[in-house]
Amino acid sequence: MRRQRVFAIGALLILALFGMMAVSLAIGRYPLSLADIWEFLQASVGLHELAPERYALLYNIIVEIRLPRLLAAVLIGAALAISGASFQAVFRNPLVSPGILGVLGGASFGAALGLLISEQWMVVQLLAFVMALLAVGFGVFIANLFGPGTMVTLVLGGIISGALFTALLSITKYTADPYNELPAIVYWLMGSLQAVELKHIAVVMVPILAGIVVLTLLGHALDALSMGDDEARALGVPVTAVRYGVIIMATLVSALSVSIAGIIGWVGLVVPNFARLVFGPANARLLPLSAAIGALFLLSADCITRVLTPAEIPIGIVTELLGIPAFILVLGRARRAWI
Amino acid sequence: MDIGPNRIGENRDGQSGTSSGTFLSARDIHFRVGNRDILKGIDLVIGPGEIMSLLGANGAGKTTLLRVLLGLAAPARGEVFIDNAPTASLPRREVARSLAYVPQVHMTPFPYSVREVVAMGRLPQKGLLSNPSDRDHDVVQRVLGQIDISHLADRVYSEISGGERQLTLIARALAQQASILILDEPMANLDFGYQALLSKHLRGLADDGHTILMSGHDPQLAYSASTRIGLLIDGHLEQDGKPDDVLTAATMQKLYGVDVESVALACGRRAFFPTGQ
Repeated sequence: MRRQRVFAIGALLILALFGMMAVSLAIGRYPLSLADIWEFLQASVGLHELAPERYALLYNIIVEIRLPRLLAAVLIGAALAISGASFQAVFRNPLVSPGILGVLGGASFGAALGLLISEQWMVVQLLAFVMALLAVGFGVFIANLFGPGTMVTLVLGGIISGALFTALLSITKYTADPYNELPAIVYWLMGSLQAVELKHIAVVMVPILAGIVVLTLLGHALDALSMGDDEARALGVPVTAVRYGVIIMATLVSALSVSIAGIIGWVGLVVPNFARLVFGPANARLLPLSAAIGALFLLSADCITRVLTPAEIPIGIVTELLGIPAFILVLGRARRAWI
Repeated sequence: MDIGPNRIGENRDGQSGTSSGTFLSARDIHFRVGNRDILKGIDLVIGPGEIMSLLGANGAGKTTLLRVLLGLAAPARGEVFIDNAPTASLPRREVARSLAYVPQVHMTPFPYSVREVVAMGRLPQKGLLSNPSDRDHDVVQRVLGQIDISHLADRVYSEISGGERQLTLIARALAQQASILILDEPMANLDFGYQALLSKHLRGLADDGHTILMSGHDPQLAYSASTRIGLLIDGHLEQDGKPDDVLTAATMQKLYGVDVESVALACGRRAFFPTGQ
């Protein structure tokens, strides 16, 4: 695909993302018009006078309630999509999703354990994050147990680690109090942006953005890697360093996003495949564009959850429902290239 | 990033794409897998203008030798040199500027275009992190033309024919602007026409000063495509010399275990036929 066209489509995507952000701030149980938001923006930088109670109301709705969700949707969508695309390149398989090395199993167990032992949301998030990293670390350890890890042993290590942490999750669920704790665990597993606060965003934003930049920089090396280890080495690529570097960064961004929002499925699988259909497989542009599309996708899904029913359905369910038809479409168009 | 002298890969700024010529040598290469000796002391020097074919029965160690020469497998003993520099001591990227690998035709899991595959050859020159420059695009365009596959540039690599894919991989090696090319069974899976076309391109590259080493299965093809033939038997380079000297009824008996009749043709060439069925 020609560079000018990629730039044009990329610019359109960014515009659409900003448009969706505005929509996301406007819709909800207390609908705001774009004029209201604009008024508030001007007032907050001192260009416009607003009655104090109106300012307080708008501040509460826009900054305290809607902005954290918006930012969470954008960051998590981008993180899941780019980590899915990166894992797909590392494992040379378009059907891989971010959970391949056990990150989701680990995070689920960590969060469940947190809900069991503590009332504090911070503990839940921290445990989810730590267990996610631990699960991937364990998977990689298994992969290298009997000699240098290969792609196959990495996949198997991930499966083993995922199975272990899923079993641990089951134990946790079994011991949980079925009236309060168990529903909380099940609800967390469905994924939600409801509990996200600005202070969480402040913690995860920088590492997620840094991860997106680093993964994008490694795009050319990933292209070579997808041709096979020997060829990549013969092209001067330090294969092992690139592979583990990408695994670490992709694990980090997906673990961060899972730890603040629970399990949000399909974004990491569907979005990269969709992006690959539109922009081609070259990772240096596929990775950032996947991130942009993932952000747009999750933000749209979040808007749908908020307007569809008054009692909000978890966003993980919406992404699954949206992801399935999208993936069937991708499957139809991409079949040729995969056989 | 690359200021200062480097002995090899000086051709980076040259427009011709080939350098003054580089020697690839191997000294006393041994390679073991478990307690099985695959290579038992290989000595080899190949220089610019040569096209050397390695022949050997299945499992004789051809692929292993190529992998050792490429630095993809570490020998148990012995060293590989690019000119006078031992490759084991050079950064991989620097090796890749002198030594290009053309693997057997394969598929890719993702639908890269031919142009994108060839552009990967620019990695050792431009660095891992930077985007291709205009000069990189020019080089890609030029090597596509050199191998006569410009018309395939925007096709998907995994959807073109095996012969076209082999040419794409050779174009990628040329985009590397390395002066030594190592090809793993380039003639396998090619039809008669592509075998002839590939031989022609290899001759052209050797005339430009490239050093070419390839493995193969077909003595007839090796005979007509190479300037030099090595016979790898049981981990030793048993014979190494001009095709006419190396390929005889006796050596082929030893190599493949069948009786072969060698027929001299009017043009001064020879043809080989298995006999005695």
